Amino acid sequence: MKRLAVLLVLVLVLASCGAQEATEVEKVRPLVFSIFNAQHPVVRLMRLGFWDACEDLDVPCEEVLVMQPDADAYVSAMEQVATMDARAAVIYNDSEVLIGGAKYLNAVMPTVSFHMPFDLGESPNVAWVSANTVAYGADAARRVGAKLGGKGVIAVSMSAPGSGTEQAVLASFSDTMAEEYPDVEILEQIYEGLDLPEAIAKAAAEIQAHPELTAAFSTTGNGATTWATALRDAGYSPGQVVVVGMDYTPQNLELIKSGEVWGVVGQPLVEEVYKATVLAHLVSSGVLIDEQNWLPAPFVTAENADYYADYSVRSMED
Amino acid sequence: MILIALIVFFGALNPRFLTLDSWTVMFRAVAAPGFVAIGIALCAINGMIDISIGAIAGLASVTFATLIVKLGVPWWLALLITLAMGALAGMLNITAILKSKIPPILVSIGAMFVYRGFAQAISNGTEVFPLPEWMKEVANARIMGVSWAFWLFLAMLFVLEAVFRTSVWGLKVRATGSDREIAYCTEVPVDQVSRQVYVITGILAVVGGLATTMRLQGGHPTVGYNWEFRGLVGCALGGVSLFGYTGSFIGLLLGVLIAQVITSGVVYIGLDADLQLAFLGVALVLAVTYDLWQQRRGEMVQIKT
Repeated sequence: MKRLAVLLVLVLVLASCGAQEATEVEKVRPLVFSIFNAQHPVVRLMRLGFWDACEDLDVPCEEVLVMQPDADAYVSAMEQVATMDARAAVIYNDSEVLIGGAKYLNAVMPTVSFHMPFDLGESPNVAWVSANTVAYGADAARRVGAKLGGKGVIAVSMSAPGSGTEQAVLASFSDTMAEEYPDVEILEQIYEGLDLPEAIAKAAAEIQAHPELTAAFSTTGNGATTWATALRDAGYSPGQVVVVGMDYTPQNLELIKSGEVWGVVGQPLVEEVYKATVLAHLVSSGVLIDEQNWLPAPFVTAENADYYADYSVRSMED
Repeated sequence: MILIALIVFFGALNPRFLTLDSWTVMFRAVAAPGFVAIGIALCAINGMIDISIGAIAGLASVTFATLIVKLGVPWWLALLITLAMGALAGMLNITAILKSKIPPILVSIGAMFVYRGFAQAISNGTEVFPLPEWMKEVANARIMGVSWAFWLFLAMLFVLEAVFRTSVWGLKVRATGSDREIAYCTEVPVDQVSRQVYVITGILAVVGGLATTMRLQGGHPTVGYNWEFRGLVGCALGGVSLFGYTGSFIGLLLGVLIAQVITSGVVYIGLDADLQLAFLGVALVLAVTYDLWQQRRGEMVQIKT
């Protein structure tokens, strides 16, 4: 009996040492952030959100980055993250293609995704953070429709096929416009691709093919530059065609200030990753978190552009 | 013939395709990637291939902008440095090919990643802007309503065409591309000729990159993305053999114009965006097939006569 008691005490002491050790290890295990197309201005804003949160939380953090816009390489990166001794992962996820990688990752560690909401039944993550793409697509449509006085022709463009976020925004924009401003015509969408001069050439072709064009709406970060340059080349003066793009990147803010672009949908790029990182920290500490986390997406015009200038400048720093 | 057929096709579906404004836009669109296409054609006629030159254009774009915007270097000095960098990149490519004996395509794939990596590192992966306002004005300057970049591209094509038709150097480039060993035996300095071709190619890539940089009023690391493939398509359509010797620069001009007419034409006719690439692919295959058929027909007629 005495031996049993000694053994029990020993086990308890060892267990408490183990627990203490585990807690210490917990402190140094990092939160990991992974994304592809890592040097893109939009992605740099997202990365800023991660590092801001890490600094505020005072926890160790690591990035696993893929430089190219390559979804397949990104899934491999998620598999690499799964092999790391990390507390939790914060990952970009904007298409169904990436769900496989996220599932794999979430089986190993708590994973919070950002940028696109998922059907909870299909969501492989413990939580997601996203702007409401349907809401901000509709909001952009209402603003453009009102600006045009309910009449006009709008060109629309997106980066490339395969972006669930962009497709959702464009669908919401088109549906709302058709419903609330039936006299506004929306042209067949064009894909801008990654080569800016080619994107400009396509936009220029659209402008020439439709001299009645009154507005252009792009769902991608470079879209503001694409349309502003094509309109400038075609001899249009700033503001003659209402241009609405996406994201408060430094160049887009400059185009807004110059009047060549009317506004951009300010996807909460910094905020959504910041929140996702905080949630990853909480869930890995055993705190229950909400699975669905919506964030507002402000519409940025010349009136409020200065507010976002700080983000865009800091995102460009090393 | 193919070009005319395409113009008629797109013009019939949307008459605005035939307007001067539309062509002004298309001429401008082919100019900057066109310089890279010339480089691709030069290498191809020389029996080589260099797919890193789109990346050199991107590197030139951010280097030029960084020198001016961030380091305050005078524009003319920045221009000289960037041109020298392009020449150096070309020289490095050919030196690696000649020294290592690794196939040119493999060397240029490696070089492409290196130059893209440098472009991202220099620019921090983002736009370097703004360049001085006057550069945008210069970039937008037009001669007879058409961008100066296109006239420069056109002038370059005609100069090279003349050089290849009349000069010994042009003959040496072709001879090297036809059969390197035979050319060497006939005392053509094959390595020296290839070095010259690659240096010119590097400089052409810089010119293309800078035309775009000035137009955008800033350096972009993505400048030149896929230009090498557009150049290859232009060569294929323009009858420039990727196996050396055969090809003309006037043919290349037609090739890049055909590719641009198809790219812009599908937008004019409002083709479903998801089908545009497929249409482009089918049109390219049909165009090349027709071109080959015409060539074979010509050869048959020659044999008969």
